Amino acid sequence: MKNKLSPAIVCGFGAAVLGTIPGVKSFGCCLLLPAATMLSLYLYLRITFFHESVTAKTAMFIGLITGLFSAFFSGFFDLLITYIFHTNDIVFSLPQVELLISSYNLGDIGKETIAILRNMSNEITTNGFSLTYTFFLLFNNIIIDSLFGVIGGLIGMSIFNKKYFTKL
Amino acid sequence: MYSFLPQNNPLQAFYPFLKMNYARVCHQTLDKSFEMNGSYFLVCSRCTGIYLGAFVGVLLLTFPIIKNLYSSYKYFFAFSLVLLIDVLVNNFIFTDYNKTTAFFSGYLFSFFTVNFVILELKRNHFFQSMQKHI
Repeated sequence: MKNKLSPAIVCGFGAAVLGTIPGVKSFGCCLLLPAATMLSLYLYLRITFFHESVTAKTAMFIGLITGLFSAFFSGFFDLLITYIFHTNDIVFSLPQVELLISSYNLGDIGKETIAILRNMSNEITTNGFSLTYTFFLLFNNIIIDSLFGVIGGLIGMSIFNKKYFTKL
Repeated sequence: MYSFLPQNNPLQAFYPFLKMNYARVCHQTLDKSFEMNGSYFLVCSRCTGIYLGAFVGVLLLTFPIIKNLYSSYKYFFAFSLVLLIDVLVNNFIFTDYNKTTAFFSGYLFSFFTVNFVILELKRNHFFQSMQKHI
């Protein structure tokens, strides 16, 4: 378990740090997390001295925990930056989003959406923290990161098994 | 899927929340995203290609004739290289972002990646062991 946990923490942390750097995401897109998981899997193989081939179960587990650590760390960084600067992407994009929702003429449901977003934005600008935003952020991060982590784990398994454990 | 919704559909109210959902894995720059039905896609053109390629890849594997056609390790690396070159060219060499090349490089990369991964899983008897558990 320890052999799987330490690469996951290191790579999850690395992915979270890279995700906060402006511009990096535009190059990495949705490949940043799978790449971090593949690195995590490679580190696991290095720790175990390439003892045996990676099973799908191990690959998925390492992917899942790398994704969860990445979700936790990136959520933490995001909340910290929001708390320090009292602003974030939600606050910046609120006027455009309000215009967009209004243009759809959705009636009450549109007004409700705008009210939630305004409330979130007000809490962030006054306190630097919003419980609704924190909930959305962590919920999204956990779902998306663990999903992409598992995908990265399976890609990594395919590559490393083919490279290191295929008999010639 | 969101962009295919007709105008004034109540589901459009979820746009900001769906956008937040994908923000973790895509920069979502509007200049780099496709537009349809008056609204921008939730992800950039490259990510649109990646998702569509993965979907088509999985779909094609269900046809018995096409099985094992694209399982090679070489295809995976070749199209990863194409994707990398396109990222570098689009971001560093040309000032105008080319949505079409970004879309197709993402599409081909994920199409061959999905094929490669699924066939590797089949080779490791992953699906048989899953069926036993079910």
